[in-house]
Amino acid sequence: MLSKEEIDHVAELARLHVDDSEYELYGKQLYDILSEIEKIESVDVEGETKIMISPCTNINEYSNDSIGPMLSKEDILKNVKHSNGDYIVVPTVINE
Amino acid sequence: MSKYLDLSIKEINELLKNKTIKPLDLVNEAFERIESSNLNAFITLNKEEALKEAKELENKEIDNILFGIPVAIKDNIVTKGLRTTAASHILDDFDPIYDAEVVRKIKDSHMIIIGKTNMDEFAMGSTGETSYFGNTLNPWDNTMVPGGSSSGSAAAVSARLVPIALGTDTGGSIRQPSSFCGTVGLKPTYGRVSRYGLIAFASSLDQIGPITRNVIDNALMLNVIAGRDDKDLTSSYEDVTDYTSLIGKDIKNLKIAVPDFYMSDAIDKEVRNKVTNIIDMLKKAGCTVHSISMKYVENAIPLYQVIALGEASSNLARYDGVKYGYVTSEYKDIEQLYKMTRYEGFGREVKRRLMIGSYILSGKNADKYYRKALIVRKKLTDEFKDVLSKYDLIIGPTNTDSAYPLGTKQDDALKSFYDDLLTIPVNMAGLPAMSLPIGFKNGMPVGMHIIGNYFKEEVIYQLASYIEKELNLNLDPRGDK
Repeated sequence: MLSKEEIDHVAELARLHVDDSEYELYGKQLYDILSEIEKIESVDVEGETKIMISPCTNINEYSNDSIGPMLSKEDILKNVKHSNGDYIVVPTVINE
Repeated sequence: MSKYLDLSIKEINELLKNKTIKPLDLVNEAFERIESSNLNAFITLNKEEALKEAKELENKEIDNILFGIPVAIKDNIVTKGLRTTAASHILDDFDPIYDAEVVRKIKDSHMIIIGKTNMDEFAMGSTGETSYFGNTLNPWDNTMVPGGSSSGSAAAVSARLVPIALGTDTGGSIRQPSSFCGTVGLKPTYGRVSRYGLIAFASSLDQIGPITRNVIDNALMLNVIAGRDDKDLTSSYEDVTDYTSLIGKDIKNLKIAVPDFYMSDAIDKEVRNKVTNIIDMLKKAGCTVHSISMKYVENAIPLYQVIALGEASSNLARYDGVKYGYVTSEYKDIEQLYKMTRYEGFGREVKRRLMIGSYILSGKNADKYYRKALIVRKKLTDEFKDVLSKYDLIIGPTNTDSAYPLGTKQDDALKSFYDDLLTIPVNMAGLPAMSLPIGFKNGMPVGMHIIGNYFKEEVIYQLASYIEKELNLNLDPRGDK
């Protein structure tokens, strides 16, 4: 079982609220998954130190430094819930 | 009701060319079938646009074999002006402003998009049960899971609602439901098909691929969607070939490996027996088939949990209630806006995976788990490369068993990972692989896994077409209707 503090920590990292009713379930489930993950530590890699992040073999992909097609303001704001027509409106981020 | 959608793509194409039928007949038939189906295979239908498109095609020349063919798209692939949800509450009203590259190619081929298929939320699951829109049913037995995450795509093709659907595969999400529903599902080589417009789950593993009723239709669809795309920087420059080119060709010189892990006691005995029968068939046909051992495939589950969930936690950080999607009404500040939106918008499976992923990448854990996993990934990939330098193909079962009842172990957090035990290693290495129906266990389909070398999908189709022809299975879940 993961403790309430441990669950609060991982939920904070993932920016998730946790309801009081969920601690018991998450405590067990997260413990089960993390126990499985621990197995990775004991895998014998025979001294290998190289890593593989992606199967992609392309080398040095650069985009051209040129102006391409752009989205309209209407398109960008199309799925925004809180907007004043020109900007996306969010709660104040900086304290005075 | 007409039965044109029971025909192969080639047969439909002939009927269109000799003007026996029009694209509109196919579209009408698809919607008749979908609307009388109880499978919940679709989240959003594209009826108005599809009918309009079908009528417009009547004035166009038939310029390719897929012209006028109805197709369904998994709902994590964006379609301009057609709602795309990833089966999540957090995107349940999302209206994309552009088409994915595969969708652009489909439209260029004048195929007709019928709708968006149901799936596990954000492709996280192996049963279809994590969908916000309710689970998809297996057409062979409505009490059984259809597999996932491309549940609706596999179910819709199996039940003959559409001839072709696109799925996506991060750890087995095309092959596993194809195995459970009796369809042909291919995960192409990483980089073969553009991911531009695919809602990202784990970017180094995700790949889009076709789900069809037979092998040649699958290859025809890969012909449409494969190729370099400048909008996806992981897209390969490797030449695209005609993926039907080796279908029907002699298989007697093929060298095939069977990893012992894929035939171990962890796999259901009847499933293993089905694969053994195929091995005997291939030996008789002149193939060389050897049992081999692979050391690193057994680490698939923890490897996937670290890499896929780590990448997912980063990719899904974008769902913050600001730019698009669901927004909570309960917030006082920006932190609470994020947390409550994500708490209310994501389902349990997704939240669990995001917590694990964030934890793995945080502080010292990044080195302890993530870096170690990347080394194991390298070793596993090298091992596959070594085997494929000696053999043309690797075969085994797609899954540990056939489909199981809905609701089984829904609270078991590890279940959905173990369903992908045999499919995950392929995504880690970035190889192409197919699930091909090879028979039934208690009336439910069993799939065989055919893994190929990088960018050699045509060899997978070559072997699959031979087995398909030899077995000549009746893969219609509706019986003799």
